[in-house]
Amino acid sequence: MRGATPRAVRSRRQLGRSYFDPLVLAKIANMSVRARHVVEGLLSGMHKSPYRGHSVEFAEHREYVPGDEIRRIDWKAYGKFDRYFIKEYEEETNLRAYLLLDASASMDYAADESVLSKFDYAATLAASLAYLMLRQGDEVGLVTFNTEVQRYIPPRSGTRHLRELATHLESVQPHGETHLGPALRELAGKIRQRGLVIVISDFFDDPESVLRTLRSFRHRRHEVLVFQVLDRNELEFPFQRLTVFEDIEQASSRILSEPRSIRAAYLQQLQTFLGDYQRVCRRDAIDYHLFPTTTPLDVALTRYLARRQ
Amino acid sequence: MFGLMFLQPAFLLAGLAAGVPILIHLINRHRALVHRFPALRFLLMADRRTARKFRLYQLLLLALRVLAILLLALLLSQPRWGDEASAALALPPQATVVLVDNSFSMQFRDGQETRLERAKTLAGQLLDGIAAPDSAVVLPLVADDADTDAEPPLLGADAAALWDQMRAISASHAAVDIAAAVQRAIEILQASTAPRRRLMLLTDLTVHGWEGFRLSELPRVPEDLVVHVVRLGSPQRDANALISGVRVTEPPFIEQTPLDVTVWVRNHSDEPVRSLRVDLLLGGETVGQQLADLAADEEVAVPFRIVAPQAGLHWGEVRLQADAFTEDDRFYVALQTVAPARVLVVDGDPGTSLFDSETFYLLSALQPRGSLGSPLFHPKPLIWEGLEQERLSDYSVIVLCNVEALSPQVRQGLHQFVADGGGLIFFAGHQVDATRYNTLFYGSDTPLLPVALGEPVQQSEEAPVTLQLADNAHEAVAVFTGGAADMLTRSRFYRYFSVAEDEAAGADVLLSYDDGRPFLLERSLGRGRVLLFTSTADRDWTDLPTRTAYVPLMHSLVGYAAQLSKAAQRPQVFLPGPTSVRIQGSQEGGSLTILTPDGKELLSRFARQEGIIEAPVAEYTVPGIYRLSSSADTDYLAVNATRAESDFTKLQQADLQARWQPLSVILEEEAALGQQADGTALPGREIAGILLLSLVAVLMVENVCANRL
Repeated sequence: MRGATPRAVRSRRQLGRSYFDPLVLAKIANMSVRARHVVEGLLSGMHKSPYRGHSVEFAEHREYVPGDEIRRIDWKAYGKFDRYFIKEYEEETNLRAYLLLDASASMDYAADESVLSKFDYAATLAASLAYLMLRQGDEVGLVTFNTEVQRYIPPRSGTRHLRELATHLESVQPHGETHLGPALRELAGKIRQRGLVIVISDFFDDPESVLRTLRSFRHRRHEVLVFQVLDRNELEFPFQRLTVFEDIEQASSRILSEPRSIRAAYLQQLQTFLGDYQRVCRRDAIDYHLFPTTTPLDVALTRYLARRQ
Repeated sequence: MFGLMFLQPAFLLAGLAAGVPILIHLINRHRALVHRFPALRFLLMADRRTARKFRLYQLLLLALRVLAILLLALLLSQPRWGDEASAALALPPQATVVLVDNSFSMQFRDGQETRLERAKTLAGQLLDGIAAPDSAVVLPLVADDADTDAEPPLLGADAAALWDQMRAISASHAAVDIAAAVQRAIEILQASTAPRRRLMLLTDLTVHGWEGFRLSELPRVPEDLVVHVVRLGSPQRDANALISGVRVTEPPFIEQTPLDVTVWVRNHSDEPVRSLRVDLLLGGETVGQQLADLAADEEVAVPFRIVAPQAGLHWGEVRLQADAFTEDDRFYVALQTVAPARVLVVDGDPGTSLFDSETFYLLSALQPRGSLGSPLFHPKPLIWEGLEQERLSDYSVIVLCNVEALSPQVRQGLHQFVADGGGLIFFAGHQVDATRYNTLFYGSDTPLLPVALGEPVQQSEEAPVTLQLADNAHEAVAVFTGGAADMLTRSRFYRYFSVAEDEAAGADVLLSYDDGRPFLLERSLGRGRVLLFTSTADRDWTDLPTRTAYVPLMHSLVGYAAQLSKAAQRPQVFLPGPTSVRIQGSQEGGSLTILTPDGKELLSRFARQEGIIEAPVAEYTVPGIYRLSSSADTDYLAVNATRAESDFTKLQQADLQARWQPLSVILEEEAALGQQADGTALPGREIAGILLLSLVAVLMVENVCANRL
């Protein structure tokens, strides 16, 4: 395991204050995150759930049909209309969200010092989402992982919890190889209560293994959001000079290449990889979104949340 | 047997540079950047597809670059291929003298370049083919005087030295002396030990300069000399129109009077020329424009009439519509104009009426009569008593007509007036007493008379004397030379003063009576002139004032006394110099400053010769107006390009061969140089073109490969 480079540490320290930068969050605070498929819960906030929650709220009347419980008849309505109506309720429940953040070494990469590394970008994104949801009274949990789960912070609400999340995010040093499949399977066992699972990673792993695990979240009736974070160099491959490319996670793996000659083939491989993720996620009703680190964070969140609405 | 030879084998060493791309390739492999990259898996997958192709391209690129350098080295070494090349390798050393025709006709342009520039380019090609043990030297056909006197250059094979010799050649205005140039070349070749000798002449073959050349007349011509003439331009005569001369008439040029300018334009061509534009410029401003039609080989006079500018020195230029030989399409002229001369006519015997006065005829003769009414003279009559009140310096000429005597102050003033450049004229009369005059005007401390007067001579009414004009007439009476002399000799004289013969030696006799006694004498005094008429200005002693000759004679003499002759066209010369200039100097001598048209200022010192200095000048190298200045005077000199080379009639091959007898001349056209199998052309076939094409092809393929990588 390699430690974070000095550049990465310095970069995150500088960003520690900006994870909750009001300029970034002010734009998002007026938006609402609504789960599309979390329907079990009661309406107790802006996230409606078909499941039982803390409070009960009237939803609508419907005419009595044989088989309905007698105790659910609204006798006041019978007095007005001389007909039997059943009173139906919705429960408003707090959303329970799990932020799954990839902290492997591959995330510790930036095209140059003028841009955020992938991990910095992902951590800022996670912190922003956490702030948004905690402000609405939702519960937010955080999981950082590489080959396995590094730390699991259970979902809770409240501003004090936000501080705990931020402190952890600032302390994380990306390292180790990426094995999303086993890590996510381990998490799937821990997260029993249905909620919103947001996975933030570069997903540089075997797509089959990752997608299989994401499907298992869906089978447990979780809403799954996938944020794939990639660097500009990875997306565009703008190198010109003869270069030895060394794997950031395995120094032994390296290749001498003339970038201009290999660029087209590389981009084709990358597009195939990204295309597979998009296609499978769409098929399994998993909301997928690609964030290049050059995309301004607030713009990316605003654009995404508007789409979610 | 075919072979390959190199004219510049040293450049083959440049082929070693082929190792440079290989070195760069190896160094770059070790200097590759190391970049830690997360998405290596995609690179690995991509590399499986492209790695082999990439390496292949890299090797191909490397091979192409090495090949390009090798081809370039081959190209620079100027290889020649063929059996001639092999033969050349086996030939004994050869000494070559390249004579480049730099006569002025080589400034003719067939296109953008002059023939001289093309000749130098051809000479450069020939020099590139010279390599030890062969040797060469480059000479101009027309050598400067300095070159002629210098030691002849040595034969050599140093390309840089040969190129320097060639670059130093420039067009010359000097007369072409082909015999001298060939003699010089032969002497150089005879001093060489090389068994083979050749003379290469690059020329336009215009006939001028060839008239006096016969090889057989030169001493010691080597029999084995190979003569190779390369002709630049066509064998037919080239058309050329030129300005052959310009003349401005009639001097003196008085400001604001009309001037007639005649420009002679010549057509050196077998075809007529229509509507040829001729521009006349004065001080840079166009003052006239004419169109001229010229038949083949015709010269026409193109007239202009302009108004003389304000008094002073002026320069002008005539421009002909430009043709392929522009050097003779311009002609520079310089002229001086003056204001009308103020003449004070002093009457020593004023009559009761104007008609009876001594000065009646003279004043009538000097009155303005010009076609534009502009006067040549401004005469002012004065009775002798008023002379003391006049400021003499206001006048150019003072005429004393039958004046009895003058006060010492006036005599002193007149003496100073003449010394400062004024003109003084004495007319005799009944009030003139020889003894008194000699005392006042000849023997005094302020002498004015050219000679001492003798006793009056009286002729009878039946046998008066007349005038006679000497064959070599003085410039003051030059107007009567030729048929006009009769006008002068018809006048009759009944009385006149004789002069003391023994004292007349210092004076010029301008006109004499037919008995041999002088009628008109002149002597210079300081910067001025004094004229003495031994007879009267009116009809008292002669009928000259009633004769036709009187007016031109008075005009001519008063103008001479006023020194109006300078108000004429200023001297002009044709290149090359040297020439000499005359200019007014100071009494003590001085220096002459020459400002050339190209902005150089030249200073030469000279000795005084009676106030007029004459300096030889050899500084004229470019056509234009040269400004000459001394402490006392300023003048212009118009310098024009030589017209000797303006006729482009060509020497034909038969005539050329005849002039080179007993040797045989190889005549080759400029475009075909190097293609004759005569042993004088470069050996072997030129393969530079093939190499160049190959190099371009290799570079194009390299560029395509480099872009694909």
